[in-house]
Amino acid sequence: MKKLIVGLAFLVVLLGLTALTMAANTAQQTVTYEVTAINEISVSGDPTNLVVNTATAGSEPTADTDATTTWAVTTNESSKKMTGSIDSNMPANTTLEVNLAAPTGGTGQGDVTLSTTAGDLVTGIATVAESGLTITYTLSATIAAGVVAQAQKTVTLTLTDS
Amino acid sequence: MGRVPFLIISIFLALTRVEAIDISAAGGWTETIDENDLQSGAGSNLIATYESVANASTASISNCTGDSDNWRVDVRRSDSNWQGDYLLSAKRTSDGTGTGSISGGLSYIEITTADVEFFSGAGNRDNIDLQYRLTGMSVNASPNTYNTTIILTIVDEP
Repeated sequence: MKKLIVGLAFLVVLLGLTALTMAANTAQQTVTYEVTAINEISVSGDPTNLVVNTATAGSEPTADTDATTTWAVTTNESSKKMTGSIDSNMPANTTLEVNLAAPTGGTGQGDVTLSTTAGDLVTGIATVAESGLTITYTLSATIAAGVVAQAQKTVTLTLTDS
Repeated sequence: MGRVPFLIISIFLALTRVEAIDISAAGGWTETIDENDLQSGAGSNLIATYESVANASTASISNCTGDSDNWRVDVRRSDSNWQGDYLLSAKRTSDGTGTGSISGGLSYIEITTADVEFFSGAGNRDNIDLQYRLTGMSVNASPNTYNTTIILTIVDEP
């Protein structure tokens, strides 16, 4: 009888402890958010026509410039750069240059001559969201170019890894 | 102490423990933030605040001894990969169903790594809808997947 009582007591205590450990007094849920790589650029529009039609006597023709357009960039990555190229090379003895104002933290490369090979325009771009950054185009020609018919070039600006 | 009183106390303790109030939860929230979440395209920042649907998850309270068995629910988070700059909040968007009562938690409260009181009530309640909110998002958030576990704890109140 004594052993039975002790055994029962042990069993009940064990059951009590088991119930305690199984009491579901917490519940869990998971919240997950994913931030994807965001690399967005845009331009405000097309520049006005560039025309080289004047010169100072005794000098090469005067270059024409346009700074009426802007670009914008948003990236949440680091070590990015802007490059630029045109769809076909310029006629002989003419040059088209572009100068992109740099966003905060970036480094502008100044006037860069455009060709069909992409060239660096702004380097060191990282985690930034800025707009209204000026784009300046400059068309120049030497007298050796002669008269060049009006033409269009498509300028491709690309945000890419440095 | 005699063995018989010990046996009686043990039975009492065991029965008391078996009657503990339980809480269960279902659902969760997954949010993907990409270029479509920019405020106005290139040059703009990310939208700062994101909300789940109103019933992103549900919680149920069970095993109460009756409609006057009081309880409260605390909430905290346990981070796996989380950026503390971005605040996570939760609120209750429905009373659920049941003969008991429920109150509080109808406005967003920030979920931190320490327990804070979320809502309270008495008696069993089923399918209490919960909504989540993430604030403080910006392009400074590096591309990654962030997650945290929300822990709801029910506390039996006198």
